[in-house]
Amino acid sequence: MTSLTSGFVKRKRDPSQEIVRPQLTSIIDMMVFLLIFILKTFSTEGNIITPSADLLLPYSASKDKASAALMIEITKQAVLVEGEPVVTLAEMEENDSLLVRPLFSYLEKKVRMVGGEKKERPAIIQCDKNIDFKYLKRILNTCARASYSDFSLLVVQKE
Amino acid sequence: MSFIAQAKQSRVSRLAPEVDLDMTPIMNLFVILVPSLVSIAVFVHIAVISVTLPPAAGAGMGGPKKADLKLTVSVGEPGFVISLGDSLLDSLPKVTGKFDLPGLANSLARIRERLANKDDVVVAVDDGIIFDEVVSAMDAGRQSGFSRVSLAGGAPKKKDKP
Repeated sequence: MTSLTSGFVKRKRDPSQEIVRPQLTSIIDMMVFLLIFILKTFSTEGNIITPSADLLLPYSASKDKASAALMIEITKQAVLVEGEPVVTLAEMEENDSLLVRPLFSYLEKKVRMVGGEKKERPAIIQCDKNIDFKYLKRILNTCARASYSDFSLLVVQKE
Repeated sequence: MSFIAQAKQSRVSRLAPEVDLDMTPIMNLFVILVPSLVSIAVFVHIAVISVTLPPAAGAGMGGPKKADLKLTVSVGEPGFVISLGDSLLDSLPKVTGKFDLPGLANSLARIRERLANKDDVVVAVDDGIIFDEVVSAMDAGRQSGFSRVSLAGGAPKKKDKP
């Protein structure tokens, strides 16, 4: 009797086994705000040049866009051309000449490889913001002598 | 409305189940969209400053004409000095150990009005000045209306004699 009727007895629901639906309203609000913020700061242009991780670029009000050119990096330790170390700052300290010989030889080799009679070749210089100008001066002079005289200094755009 | 119709209406509204919107697909969309946008977003905007080197001293015949003279801003340890050829136009010493950049921009804008060459300015930097200060001085030049900024080396740093 008990077994037959037991199937018809209304069982009480165990409150612990009920499906818990979390409140998603606040999380959706947050996602909408995040999406609007990202779309607002979104730039379709992007950057052609990726700044080196070894240096801190200075801030500037300039809005000129960078174009592809020979990349020269001046970090606190060394001078790199297209990511390849050419001369260290300690080596540059050894003499006072405005011409940095290892850099000049490297650039001359590059000019010979590229060929052509172009007089003003473009170069982009990434220089750490805390570097003494005396190094930059010598590098600019060396580049100009190796026919890379169309300089651009890479900076971070001020907001 | 009759009493019966009202009663029917209230019964229908009492029996209508509460509609709980399923937000899961929207959440899925957001979860995919937000990280993908973050990964391709550009937060740091890179720019360039075009610079030229001034022509070598003594280049050309008979020296520069007065109209060709370029305004020179010397950046040194004491501060800024603005000159045209041999004549000193202004000097801006450091203010509490920092370069007076707003003062430089104002002074350059004022001087530019009475110049023949309103496009060129040469920033001559002494040894020992850091690159960040050079960029700030060049910015001040551009801000005051000069479109071509040249970089030149100033006085070399004196070495201590042993």
